[in-house]
Amino acid sequence: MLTFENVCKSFENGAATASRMVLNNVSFTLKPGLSAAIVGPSGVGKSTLLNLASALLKPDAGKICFEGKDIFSFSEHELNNYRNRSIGIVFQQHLLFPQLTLLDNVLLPVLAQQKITQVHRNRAIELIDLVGLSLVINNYPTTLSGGECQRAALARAVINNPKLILADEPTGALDEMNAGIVSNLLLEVQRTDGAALLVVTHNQQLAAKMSRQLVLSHGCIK
Amino acid sequence: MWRFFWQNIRFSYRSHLIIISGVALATAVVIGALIIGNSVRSGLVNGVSESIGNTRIAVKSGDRFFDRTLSSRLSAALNVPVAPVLQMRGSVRNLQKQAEIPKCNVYAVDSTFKYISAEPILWPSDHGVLISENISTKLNVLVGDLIQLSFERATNLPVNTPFVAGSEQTITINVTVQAILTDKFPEKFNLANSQLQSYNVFVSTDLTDRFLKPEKPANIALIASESVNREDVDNELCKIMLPSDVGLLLSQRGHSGTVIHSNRVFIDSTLPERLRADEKKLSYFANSFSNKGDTAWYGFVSSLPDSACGSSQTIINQWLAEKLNLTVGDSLRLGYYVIGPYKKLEERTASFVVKSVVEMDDPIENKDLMPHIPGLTDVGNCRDWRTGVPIELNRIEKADEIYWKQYKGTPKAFINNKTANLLWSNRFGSYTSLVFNADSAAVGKMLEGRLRPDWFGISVENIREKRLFAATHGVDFSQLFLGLSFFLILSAIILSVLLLRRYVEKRKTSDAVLSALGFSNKQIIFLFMTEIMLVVFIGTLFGVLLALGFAKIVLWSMNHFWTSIVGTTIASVKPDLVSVLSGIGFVSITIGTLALLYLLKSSAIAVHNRIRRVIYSNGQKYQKRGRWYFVLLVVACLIVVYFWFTGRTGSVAIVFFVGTLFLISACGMLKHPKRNSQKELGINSVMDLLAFNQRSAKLGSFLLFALGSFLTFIVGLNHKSVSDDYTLRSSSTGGFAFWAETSKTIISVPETYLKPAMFIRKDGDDASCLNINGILQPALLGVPVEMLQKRFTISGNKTWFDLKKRKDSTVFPAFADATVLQWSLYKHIGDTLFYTSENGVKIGFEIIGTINNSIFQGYLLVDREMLQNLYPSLSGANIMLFDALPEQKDMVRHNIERLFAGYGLELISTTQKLEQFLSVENSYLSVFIVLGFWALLFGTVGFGVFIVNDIRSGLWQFQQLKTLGYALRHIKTALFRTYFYLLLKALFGGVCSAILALSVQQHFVIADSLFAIVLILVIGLFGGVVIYLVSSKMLHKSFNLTTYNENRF
Repeated sequence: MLTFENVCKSFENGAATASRMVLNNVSFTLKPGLSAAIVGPSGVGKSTLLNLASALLKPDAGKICFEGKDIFSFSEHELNNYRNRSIGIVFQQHLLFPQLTLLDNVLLPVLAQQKITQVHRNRAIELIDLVGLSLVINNYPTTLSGGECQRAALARAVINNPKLILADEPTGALDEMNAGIVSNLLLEVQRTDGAALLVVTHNQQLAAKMSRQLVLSHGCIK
Repeated sequence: MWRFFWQNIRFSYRSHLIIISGVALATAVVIGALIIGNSVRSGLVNGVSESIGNTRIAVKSGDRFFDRTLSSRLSAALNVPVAPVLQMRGSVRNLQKQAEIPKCNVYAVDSTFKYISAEPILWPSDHGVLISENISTKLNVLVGDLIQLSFERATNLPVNTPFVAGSEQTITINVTVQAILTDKFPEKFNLANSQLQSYNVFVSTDLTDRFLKPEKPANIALIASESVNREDVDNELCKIMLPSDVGLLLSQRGHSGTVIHSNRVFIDSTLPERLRADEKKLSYFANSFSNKGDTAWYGFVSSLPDSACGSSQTIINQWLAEKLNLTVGDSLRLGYYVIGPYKKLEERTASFVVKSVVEMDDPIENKDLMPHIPGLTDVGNCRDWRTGVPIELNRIEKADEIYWKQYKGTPKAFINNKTANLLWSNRFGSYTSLVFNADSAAVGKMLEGRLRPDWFGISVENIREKRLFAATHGVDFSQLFLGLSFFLILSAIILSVLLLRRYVEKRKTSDAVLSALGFSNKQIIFLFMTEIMLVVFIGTLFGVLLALGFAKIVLWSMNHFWTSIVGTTIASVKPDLVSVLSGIGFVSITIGTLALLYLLKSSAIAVHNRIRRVIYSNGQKYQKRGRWYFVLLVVACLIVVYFWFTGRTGSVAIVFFVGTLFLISACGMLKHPKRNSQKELGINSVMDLLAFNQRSAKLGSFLLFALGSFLTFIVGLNHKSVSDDYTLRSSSTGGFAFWAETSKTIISVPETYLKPAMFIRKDGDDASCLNINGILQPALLGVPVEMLQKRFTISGNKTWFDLKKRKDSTVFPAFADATVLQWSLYKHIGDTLFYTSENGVKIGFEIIGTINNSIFQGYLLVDREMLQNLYPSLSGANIMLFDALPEQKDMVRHNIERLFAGYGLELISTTQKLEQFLSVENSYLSVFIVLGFWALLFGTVGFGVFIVNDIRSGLWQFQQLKTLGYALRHIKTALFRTYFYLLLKALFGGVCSAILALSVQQHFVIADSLFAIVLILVIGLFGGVVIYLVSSKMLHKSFNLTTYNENRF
């Protein structure tokens, strides 16, 4: 499904002339339907790795392939397609749009490439129900708790049946109880849709629930 | 603290530079407008010295003349130099190049003229002339060239006085150009209250004396000395004025009697009472004396006190009795001419019964009763008579010749005063002689010091004071340009405030950190405000420099435009400290106050939460506003409907009031979108929700464009154009095709198919929009009311005949052009303007109606007959209006030019005349539109800043859309649509408000606003380009950043 082949990434170091190498020949493969957790201390490059996987950043070297195709050889349309249909991203902050209702937020990815139909609506309602938010389906995010918003973000990430779910510290901003709920939901959704799941997390309990754990240290996967 | 302050300044210098540019612009426009006003005022004030030199006091006799020696005696009495001037209307031609200036001022001066100039000046020799530079340019003449000069003969004898033969009115001579005047004074010599430059010719009094002898007339005397004032001059004039100075001729009558005649034939109507004559007599020249079949031709009839005989009785002399075989009780029929306007003769008769017959040596018989009529009373033989009435010489018999030789003009018959007045009194007077029962020496002594100058149309003015007052109280260009630039100033301030808001937003975090670190709110505000005020101050300094450029450009454009119309430049740039400080103060305080208010509102600083809540209560107000918008819309619609149904016309104030209501209610279009879950979600509705995070900035941008398009359109709709259909009688041209002015007075029009309406002009201030001085006393135009019926449109359903209806003996009705009344005279219908009649009586002209945008702009319109009664010296017409069908226009023009060649004719079509006036008004409107256009352009730039702010504040949302797979082009399109829609709503709201508001005036034509429509379309296009470029750039930028690193934003 997702393959990293000797991926390197460095960033400019402010005023310093030398750049900082964040990822150094990172290689791994994530097979369809499986899950993996990327763990490591702060600043090690976990989020960078996720950004690369979602084609929001470009590697300095190496290849990132999705279903055998280098994602950085995609045209702009293919990249939009990749982000819209092939992957779903869950962020640490839910990043729901405060001007839209919960239902609209979940339906938002659909609007990127097609008109919303009753099929989409049914799918959205189904997902909202799955994450336990049916009672607040027409509420605005400002009226919901952090946990509820994160669950909605999760529903949004999978509305288009992505083959790969990327989650960047999905429980990082939640308390223990809500973190547990979101973690379980994440796995349930992944299992239900049969998608691959790549999670960046500090949460040992969440990491333990994944099929495998990839430790990122000093720019490399161990 | 101060280190932190300077670090802040350095760090944020880019933001500050942009703020400085906005502030500089606002300052430049404010100071520029003030400087323009000061420059124009200063130009007009300088113009006073350029036109009158050092003159402080002027003695003027208007259309009459006094003897030049009066000036010398006045000088001796006051012990200061007094310069007499004879001003005449004239024309000048270059015969070789067939070029003519039909209207010029001819001034006859002597060596005393030098006393009113600060610099040494030339004066003309007795065979050369000095001409102003504009004559030299127009006629293409140089020093030494020969030109033909024509000027009106200066005489106190009005040309259409009864019985006076029409002597040559105009004197035409060929003269050499001695010098071309290019110095300020006396090249622009002009006592009139106007900056319009006239064509001036200076001749020597020696030259004019040759043609006007034995008279040595003058109609102006100028005093420059500061040691006398107006009252001194007036008092001395009273003391020294002799009867001969004002045309009163004393002659001994018998041993102990004196008769006073006037060289004007008739004695001014107020004089008999003022001089307290013992007897007043009216002597009239009769054509015939008939009794049954017998007739005696030509002779004088005089009047006696009413007690002498009844109203239908007559006393005849022995000669007549014998000639006609008359005895007491017989009937005598008198035949005589009455001379109407323009010398129209009407023969009438009157019958009397002979009461008595007197001997030729009877005391009542006296040839001194004959008035002094040139061509009649100064000839030895009656066959040599040259009068203004037809004399059939074959009727004169030998007996008549003998009578004339022996008795001259001794009256052949007498009637009483009352009857004589009924038959023969006219506007020149009711009597031809005054009799005193004292010898002439005693009468002369009695009159010493009793003759007041104003009885004879002579006025004494503090001319310098009046001209300076008019120069400083004319069109206020400061106010005008502040008004014209108002929108540009507003948009510059709004732009500066938008930029400041962005800066405050940027500083929110650092200010919050300062607060968290223990800095007090006062300290934080102090730091911020000091920084901002320093930036604003620097901006204002740049603005001062820009202001000079702005003022220069505007004045250059105005001068360029005005020179072609009024023949002179208005002003050069004259910056002053008051303007500079006022502009700096206004902009600094305004922007500083707005910055402080916004800072207080900003959530980073909570100085007084209660104050914030009071000033900026949130939430509910947005719902309440929606209701108010609707209420205002309804009120505005009701007002419009009212005017439509009643057919009334709203004033300018109503238009702007209604327009403001519509504009404010248009803000209801800005209802902040709220997600309606019933409606299908679409990309456009998502963009509507994502955009416009700051409601007040959205409102500000909307108002900027709406107000700009409103003002541009409303001014554009007021842009007046002249209708091609001049034949419409109710229009501004009255249906007339041509306006003609002559420098020579027209007494009568030769019998042709051309039947012009003839108008008499009484000099005064030009109250048209061409004169930017304050108007003290507008010129009067005597109109032939009978010929103007159903022409023009007069307010309040008045007719021209209303001008004949007098309230009392000293207040007369008048019409005025509506624009003149409002913007030049600052008066209203019902107000009265005061003048002095030719006989020194204070009179008033009450404004009873107005005419809109007419060719009469500049004048107060009165009945022609009434005007001539008040000013008898106004002999004839100088202005005529001609009809002509469109297909006959060329032929009529040709005939007019042929008929009035030699009269100094200036002929212009009425549409051209209107265009001249309208072009001045339209020039102000065009400046407003251009400045408004620039304001809209800056507003568009401001809108671009607003878009940057808006996208930045919601950047993470656009980032999110990217991660959700949204294509950049879809977002760009949808966002562009959202912002452009606001712009279109604003322009649409502004234009509709303008159209609806102007509908209360009901006479506008959309086609006249083509210019404004084009500008607004350009703004729409430019706005669209700016929106597209800015939003695209911001979106591109946002799509290049990492999505969830919110701290970056």
